[in-house]
Amino acid sequence: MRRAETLRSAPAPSARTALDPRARLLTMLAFMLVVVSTPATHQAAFISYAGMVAWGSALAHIPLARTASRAALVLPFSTIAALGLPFAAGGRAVDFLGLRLSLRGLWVLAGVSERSFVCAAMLYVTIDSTGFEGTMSALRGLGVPGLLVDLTSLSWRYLHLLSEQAARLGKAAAARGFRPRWLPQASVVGRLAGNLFVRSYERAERVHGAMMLRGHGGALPPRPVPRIPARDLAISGTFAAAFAAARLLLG
Amino acid sequence: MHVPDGFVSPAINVATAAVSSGAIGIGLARARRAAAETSHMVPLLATTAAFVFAAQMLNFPIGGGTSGHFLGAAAAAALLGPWNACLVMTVVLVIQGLFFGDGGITALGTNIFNMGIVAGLGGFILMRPIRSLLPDGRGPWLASAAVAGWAGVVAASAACSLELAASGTAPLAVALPAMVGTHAVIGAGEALITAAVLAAVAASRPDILPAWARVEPRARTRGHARRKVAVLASSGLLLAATLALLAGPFASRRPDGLEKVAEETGFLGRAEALWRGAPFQDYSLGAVGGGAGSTGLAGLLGTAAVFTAGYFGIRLFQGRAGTDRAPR
Repeated sequence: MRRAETLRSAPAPSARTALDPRARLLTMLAFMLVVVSTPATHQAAFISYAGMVAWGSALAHIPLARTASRAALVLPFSTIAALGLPFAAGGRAVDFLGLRLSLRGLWVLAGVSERSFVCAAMLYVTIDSTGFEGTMSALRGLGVPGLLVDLTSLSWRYLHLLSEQAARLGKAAAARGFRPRWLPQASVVGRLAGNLFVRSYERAERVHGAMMLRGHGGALPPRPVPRIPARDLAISGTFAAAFAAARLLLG
Repeated sequence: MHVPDGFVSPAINVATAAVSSGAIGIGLARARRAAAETSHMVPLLATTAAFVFAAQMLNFPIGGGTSGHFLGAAAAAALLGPWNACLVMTVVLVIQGLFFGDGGITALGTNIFNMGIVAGLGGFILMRPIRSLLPDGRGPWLASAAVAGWAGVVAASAACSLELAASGTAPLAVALPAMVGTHAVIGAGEALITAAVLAAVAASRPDILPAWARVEPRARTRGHARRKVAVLASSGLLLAATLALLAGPFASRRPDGLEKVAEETGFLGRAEALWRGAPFQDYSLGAVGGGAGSTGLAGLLGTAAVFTAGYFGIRLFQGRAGTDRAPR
């Protein structure tokens, strides 16, 4: 139910609204590109990345503890994906608590954990301070095809509705005594999902009807996109240069 | 299967993102054309993405106290077509990546490749030959969707582990069996749910099923039987070649039953003397050198050789049978 909980959290109030959302997204992307290209052995660089996330969090007036605890949710994936590495990667070995661990495997595990954690934390800082509408208009402004942005916005509108419907269907099945214990019972889940699809299809028909009534002509009208202010681009560029400098200097 | 940031190397990210962008471009162009023809394509794609997102919250047990969740790519492909399924999965993954921290931003292209293109488009491509092989009717149609659902999930997990291995994040010998093994079970749940979704739609709204999913007898053409054989033969060959290439290197290194007996009774030496000149001795290629690649290649070449021999053998007998039954 992690998703249902995050759904309810509204964008936090922000003092960084001064920076254009497009410049903000570009800054985040530059940060992520620098982080994912950093080798695991550059530990000083990773400490500086964590400091930048903390700074961004302070600028955006977002509690750092909340950002960190949400970002920590990516760590189970790295545990599952890479936990075998210290045992299987080979190469030089170190002894730890009576286990023989591969040094190379330990480095890879540390690298993927730190990279995914720092990137997720920066994502939350950026998105929480930008909000859904701001992010969508920024994507449109950055040249993402308009139809894709429209689809994402429309989907966001109905996603909460359908998620609640899905939760209700699950609750109703549980109330009727459905306690799935073995795999073949997945087909019952499939009936619920089929029910959900028919509902979503019928909603699309109703939405389309309503759009036609309001004079919709088949595609959403284009919206004017102002240029990114030069000041914001300069700030974004300065940040990107700082990230790259941290990556190169703190080897 | 959502890959976070920093797991896949930049080179793999760029390559998969390029393929994903191409598929999204095709999907968008087709959706634009469909929307222009007074269809409710835009809201339908949006609500279907919302449906896939919501349906992914429904968990099913896979045994051992753990649970898997529905992916929805094959179901979306069966209901809306392969290109629309790519768009739907893209929207789902963009929302999950940006607003729920499920899957990385730099890994978005990779995730769309695995769960949109491999699972959706790949599953759909598999669905058609299976359907053309099976008899008409509801059951076979649902079965083909179930196979597409299973194969889509398993292929996506294989693609994911290949990407992780190529990035040096996980050794292939660990990642591939672990990922494919888990997802072979999760895929069974996906297969059941995909079939159940289609069955539910066919039961309550058969009018919204696309033309290729309608359960109607198809017109039999003269070339139908011949095409059926060609499809059967080529899909069998593809399956065997994939198995030989991917599973061959993981085959047991221990002696098989006959070899064990031969070793114990001491005639293995004679057997080896007899077969010294065999081209793929011990399933590896001398010319390529040992190792997993060599074993896979030997398996592939062996499969091709057996297929060719079998094909011409059957053709030979077919020809004779044909002349026997010449019109009198």
